[in-house]
Amino acid sequence: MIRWLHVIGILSSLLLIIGCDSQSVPLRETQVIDGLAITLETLERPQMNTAVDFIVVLQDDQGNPVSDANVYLDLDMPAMPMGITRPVAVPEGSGRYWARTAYTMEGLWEITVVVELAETTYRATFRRDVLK
Amino acid sequence: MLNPRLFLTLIVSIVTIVMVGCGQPATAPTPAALPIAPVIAASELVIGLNRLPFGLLQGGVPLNDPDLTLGVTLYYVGPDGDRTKPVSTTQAVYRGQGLPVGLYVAYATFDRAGGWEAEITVPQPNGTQTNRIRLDVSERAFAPMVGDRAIPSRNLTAADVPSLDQLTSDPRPDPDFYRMTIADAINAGKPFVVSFATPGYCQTAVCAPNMAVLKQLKSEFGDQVNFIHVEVYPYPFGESFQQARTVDAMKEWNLRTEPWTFLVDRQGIIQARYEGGITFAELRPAIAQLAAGQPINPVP
Repeated sequence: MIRWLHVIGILSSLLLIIGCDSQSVPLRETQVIDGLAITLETLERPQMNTAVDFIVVLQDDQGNPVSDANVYLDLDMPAMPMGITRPVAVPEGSGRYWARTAYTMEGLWEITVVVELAETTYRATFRRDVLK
Repeated sequence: MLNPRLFLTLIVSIVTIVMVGCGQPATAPTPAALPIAPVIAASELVIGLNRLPFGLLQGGVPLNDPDLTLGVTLYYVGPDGDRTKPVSTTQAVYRGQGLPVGLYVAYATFDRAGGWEAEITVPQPNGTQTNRIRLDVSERAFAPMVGDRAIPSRNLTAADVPSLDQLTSDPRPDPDFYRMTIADAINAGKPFVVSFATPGYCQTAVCAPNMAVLKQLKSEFGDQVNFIHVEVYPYPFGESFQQARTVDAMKEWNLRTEPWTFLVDRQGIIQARYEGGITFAELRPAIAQLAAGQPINPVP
């Protein structure tokens, strides 16, 4: 019985690793800009022309959630200007913000999280390789 | 030996763990239930009246539903702005006829520069879906604006090349679009339409449909209005496209995206400008007004 459970446990882990390709797994990254920790969580290998969700989490230098900022994302391709792709991230409380948009072309995109807080604007840029 | 019922339970659990662990729903959503992402197909907004073209993306494809009308509510969020108080509301109507993607076009007036937000409401069978998009409104545009003088570019014409296939990537070019430079058209004292487009290398896939619209309109208004096509890339087009090298007229007009269409009156003043996809239904009334020497009212 115990041996069977071990086998099934290993099988489950393998299935999780094989079954979960990186397209469906969000990647969580954090940058600290002038004391403000900006965390972006979104798909690691998103697909073009498909709605993609973005979670932004903000914390001050004491680790406290920052919930009263204006937050939006600015998405563009370094190789060519792609027009305006700037979804507004809606506050959900506890320093968490949610936005949704789509990448309109395959290739490397830069996602700049723009945080307007009091009189200061913070920007953190992340990258994603978008699949066709 | 393992109890068969326990074994079955464990297998079901594994499948559940895999599905939940991958962040996927246990059952695939129907296409109508997939989330929709609105995107705006414009690269710049300025104080005054602006054309706001939207695309809707769902499940990897653009939506192309002629019956859909989007609600658009605008908020000023710059200094002293309030993102809870709408400044104006408008609607984006379907303008995708003949285009490879559905396009929904609204017109909105911005009374000041700075940060704005557009709240887009998309009607769905099970309610509405709402998304907000950040818009930055400038005092001045990069591309020439309505009211500016057209820039007298000396683009190549049919007289400068051995054959039209060195002048345009359009596989079925209309020679009338390549008879005069923009400078010639301004001096002619007749209204004209100039399209900056690259049918063979268009990243937005709307250049060839745009040219089809303009050819159709030329057949109706060609005796009152001149029509010019400026290819975005110099010949050889493929090589120039790879190197992102554009023709001089693109630089002189300060165009960073393609395609663009400008309507210019007999005095050489730009009366309307369109970035991206255009349709017969949207452009015909405007060109009729241009031909008649009337002010162009682009709002449907």
